[in-house]
Amino acid sequence: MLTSTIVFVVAGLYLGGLFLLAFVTDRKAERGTANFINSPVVYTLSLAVYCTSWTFYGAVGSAARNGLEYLTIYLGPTLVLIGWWFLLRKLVRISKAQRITSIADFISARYGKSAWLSALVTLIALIGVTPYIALQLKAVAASFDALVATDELLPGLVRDRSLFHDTGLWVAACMAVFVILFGSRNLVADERHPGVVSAIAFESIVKLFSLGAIALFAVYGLHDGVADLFAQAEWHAGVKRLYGFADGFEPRWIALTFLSAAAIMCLPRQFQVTVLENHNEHQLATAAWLFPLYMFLVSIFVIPIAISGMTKLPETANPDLYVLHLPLDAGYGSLALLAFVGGLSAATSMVIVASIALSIMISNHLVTPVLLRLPFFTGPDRGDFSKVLLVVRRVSIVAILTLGFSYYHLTGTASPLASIGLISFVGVAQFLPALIGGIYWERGTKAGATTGLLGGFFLWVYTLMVPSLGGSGWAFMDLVRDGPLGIAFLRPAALFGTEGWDPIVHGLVWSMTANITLYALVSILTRQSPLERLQSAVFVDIFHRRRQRVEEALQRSATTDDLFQLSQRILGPERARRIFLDYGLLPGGRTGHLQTPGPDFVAHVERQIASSVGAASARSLVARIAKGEIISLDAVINILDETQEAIRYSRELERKSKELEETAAQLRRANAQLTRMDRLKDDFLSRVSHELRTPMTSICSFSEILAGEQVLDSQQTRRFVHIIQQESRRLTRLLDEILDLNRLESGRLEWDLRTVDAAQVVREAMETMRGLARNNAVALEDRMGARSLPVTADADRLKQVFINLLSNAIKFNSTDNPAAWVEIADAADGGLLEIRIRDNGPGIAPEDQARLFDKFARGWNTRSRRSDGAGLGLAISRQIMLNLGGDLTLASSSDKGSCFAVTLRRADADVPAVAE
Amino acid sequence: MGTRILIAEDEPYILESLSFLLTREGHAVESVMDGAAIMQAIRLHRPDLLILDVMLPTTNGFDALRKIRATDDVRHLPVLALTAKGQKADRQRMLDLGADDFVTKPFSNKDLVARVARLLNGAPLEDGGQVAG
Amino acid sequence: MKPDKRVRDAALLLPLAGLLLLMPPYIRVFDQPAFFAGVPLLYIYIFCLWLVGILLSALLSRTLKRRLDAADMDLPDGADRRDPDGGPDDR
Repeated sequence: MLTSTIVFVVAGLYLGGLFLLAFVTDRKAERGTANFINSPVVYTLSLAVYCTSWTFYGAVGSAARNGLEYLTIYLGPTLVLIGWWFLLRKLVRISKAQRITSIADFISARYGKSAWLSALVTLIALIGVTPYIALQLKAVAASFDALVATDELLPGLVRDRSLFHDTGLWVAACMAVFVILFGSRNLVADERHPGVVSAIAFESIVKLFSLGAIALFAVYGLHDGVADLFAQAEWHAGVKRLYGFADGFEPRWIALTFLSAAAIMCLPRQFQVTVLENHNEHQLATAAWLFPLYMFLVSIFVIPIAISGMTKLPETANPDLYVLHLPLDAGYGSLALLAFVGGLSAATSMVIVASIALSIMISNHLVTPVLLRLPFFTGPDRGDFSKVLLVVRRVSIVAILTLGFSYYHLTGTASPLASIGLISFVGVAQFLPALIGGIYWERGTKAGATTGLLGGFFLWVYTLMVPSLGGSGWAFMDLVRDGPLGIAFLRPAALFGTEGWDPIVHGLVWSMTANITLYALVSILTRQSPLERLQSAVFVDIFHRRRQRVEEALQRSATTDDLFQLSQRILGPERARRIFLDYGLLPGGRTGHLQTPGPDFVAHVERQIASSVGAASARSLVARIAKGEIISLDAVINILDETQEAIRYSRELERKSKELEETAAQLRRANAQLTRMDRLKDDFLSRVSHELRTPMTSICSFSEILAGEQVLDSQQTRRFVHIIQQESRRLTRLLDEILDLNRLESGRLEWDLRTVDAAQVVREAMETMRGLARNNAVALEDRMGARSLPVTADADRLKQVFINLLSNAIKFNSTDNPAAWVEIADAADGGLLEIRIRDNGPGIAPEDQARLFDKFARGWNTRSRRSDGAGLGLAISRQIMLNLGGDLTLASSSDKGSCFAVTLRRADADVPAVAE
Repeated sequence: MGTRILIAEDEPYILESLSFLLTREGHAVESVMDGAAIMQAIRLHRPDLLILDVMLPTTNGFDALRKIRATDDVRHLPVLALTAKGQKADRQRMLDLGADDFVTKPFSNKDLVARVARLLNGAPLEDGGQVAG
Repeated sequence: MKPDKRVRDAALLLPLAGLLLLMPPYIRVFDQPAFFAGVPLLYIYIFCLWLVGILLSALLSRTLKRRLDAADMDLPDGADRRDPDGGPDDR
């Protein structure tokens, strides 16, 4: 039996434990030993503050009432997290670069650091989130009541009770203390609160654990496993309804997914934990799958609880409280207590973070701008403004919680938890167009964002807040029933005649339509101020920007002293000193440095100050002391264009240098080839020179002998003259061959192409060689048969080839019964014909075969007298064959003989182009 | 005179002219036409001078020369190199390899005969070039 | 640059595909009265899809983390992602 005392004590101990945890963490953080705060797991758990008591209690309620719809609340964020690389990462990157302090600051900074915009966002956030805070308090109170009530199961109405017996009040007070202690201890540089983070991470674990425990209880305690659970539900009509989608589920399904996706970014508390408390982008990478996993588990746990609730608990039980009633009714008091603690965790974590986020926004964007206008606060000897800021912060926290509590106390509505939460979602979703547009659309202007926000906000209030207040009997009842001034067409719940729409869908559609339309239209129609242009470029291009300081464009100068004074007052003396020390710019010009710090330093200081008071206030503060020209739009555009130019130029450069590399590689290759060819040419020339000198030597020598005084006998004279003649002819032949080869290779020869019979040409060549064959006692045979072989060729040149081959076959055959013959082979390809010249000579050594057709290759005729021919014969023959579209190859060679193959295209086949 | 000259040359006509010239001067002339057979021929004929064509089949003149200079009993054989290349670098190479003198083709008969005589008398010229024209 | 682009495209496709598959009309397809061990087909579809999405996201994150490290060399506009307090960032 659970008495209120027991519950109070447990709750108190639990909260006390939280305080302790936060305290210890903060101490460790101060000493620099709290690195676990930066772990991706802790980060992800802190994101799970998204799952408030709406999830803990309301998800089961929603599942029991509306089936699978509850999943949309978790599917939306899952998608956003999975797509972190594009959206969330950009938000994080920008926020770090610009030292953003809240979502209002983000939006304001993007649209020219506008103070009005940040104030507007803050107000909307406050109005939107207050019901949500109230919701948490209501959940705690209701769960407390359920826990200690003895006999009845109340349908969830908060009993009318005096103020001091209201659990909600105590929770709110407790939260206020917690947040003041741990959420605003000092104005740190970047709004990170390690104590708070560790507390809510811990609470996320408790939430999950507790919900899981109840789910397990439902499956294994109340049933015998999953199958049993579903089997027992077979007969229950209500459960059956949950198995599928109802008709017309689509609009709500889509709308809620969209809303939850928007909420995971736009809810101030989510922005706080996701973007501002982020330490590095690796955390995001882990959260991208770990957070969806968390929500996956939560969603799965909901199902057995919902089903069991419907089958095991009476009809009148409040589905929102199934989580408690299931263990309670079965008599497991401690389990129910665990559930209560889980719910408490869910509620308190939301309240804590939301209060911090809202208090930052209020102090920075609502209060500070006002205070700064009052001379009281900005005179030269006003002391430390940072202390004032702290007080403002703390007062806002109390104010927020008071507001939340009042809302809860006054509107003890019977609406299920889920619907209040959804109204809140639509409210913060109004930030989405300005946010997304801000980071992707450079053209989005401040005017556009403002009008969009105003329009969306107005419609949200009109279509959702008004009916909800009217519904609870608080106000606006006439308006809801009859429409403004009696115009039914403009009734809040059915605008423009849209009867029967689900209220959330209705509200979302109209508010978003107005928001987006106004944002887009007005942005297109208005121009941006220089600062807006600057900021929009910085935001949209954050991934591409390098070390460029575009803000330097704003020429500003201030004296070091003035800046230092300002920094001291806002940031406190310690931080101010550190900043200035880092820059070597101690005031008073002690180090002899510039009295006028450069605009980049001014921008730096402004950013530091912005981390305490928000971008807009920081800007106005610094602007006051920094004398600046209002830079013209043209100048900004020029600078931005220059930047674009620079980016384009550097890309061009990259491309060009790649091209250059390729060209250089090509050049290297070409050079290598030229060098090779050069060497070949050198080789050739030196060989030619050698070949020419050889006959020259004989000619010179014998000429000299003949011309000498010594008398020779006539036989010797005749001999020597003969030799001179021989060698002269050889020389001439050599020169002819060289020229021939050259012309063949360069293609400058004139060909007389006709259809000739190759066999006939061969026979003519053999005739010519008969004499030589006889002289060398070589038998020459024609084994071609009677076929005719029509080819397209130059007859003389072809004959030259055969003569060359036959001559070689005759001259280099040193066997006993030398023989040479010509035959025709069957070529594989029907269009080609192959004529073979064979001999039975000693063959060609393998090592010489490779160089056989090279110019001046002579290795293979060592045993011959090289009295004619200079080794160019085969080279020339081959070249001729190639030019005729055929080939000349050494088909085979062994010590039994060699075989040369002449290949030609048949004239009746398709003749390929011959070299011209 | 009793001097024997070995000519290593594979072009028959050049060999013939050299033979004729040197025989006319009173030397005994032997010939070898293959680089691989030079060592054998030297040992066989024991010449007083070797005229060596650098472009020989099988083993070229350079290698043959190197071998000669590396073999003890024939190291001191005077060698007159015959080359078709006339560049300074080639000349230098011949001398570095151990030729005592060299002549480029085509050569002047008078010049060749003079160099042979000088080598046989044991005094090679300093600059291995053409003496006249 | 090719593996780069592919990873980037995958990172974009995954959430978009997830979105598409979770919306009507696709999700309607699975709204059939079919049961596996008593569990409705629709539940199985959604939760399996969800789980697959989580797995793919985990895999993708591994690759993307490496890209983050590689890109650390050129941080844009003064943002020191690792250092919360930042130092002087005008360098």
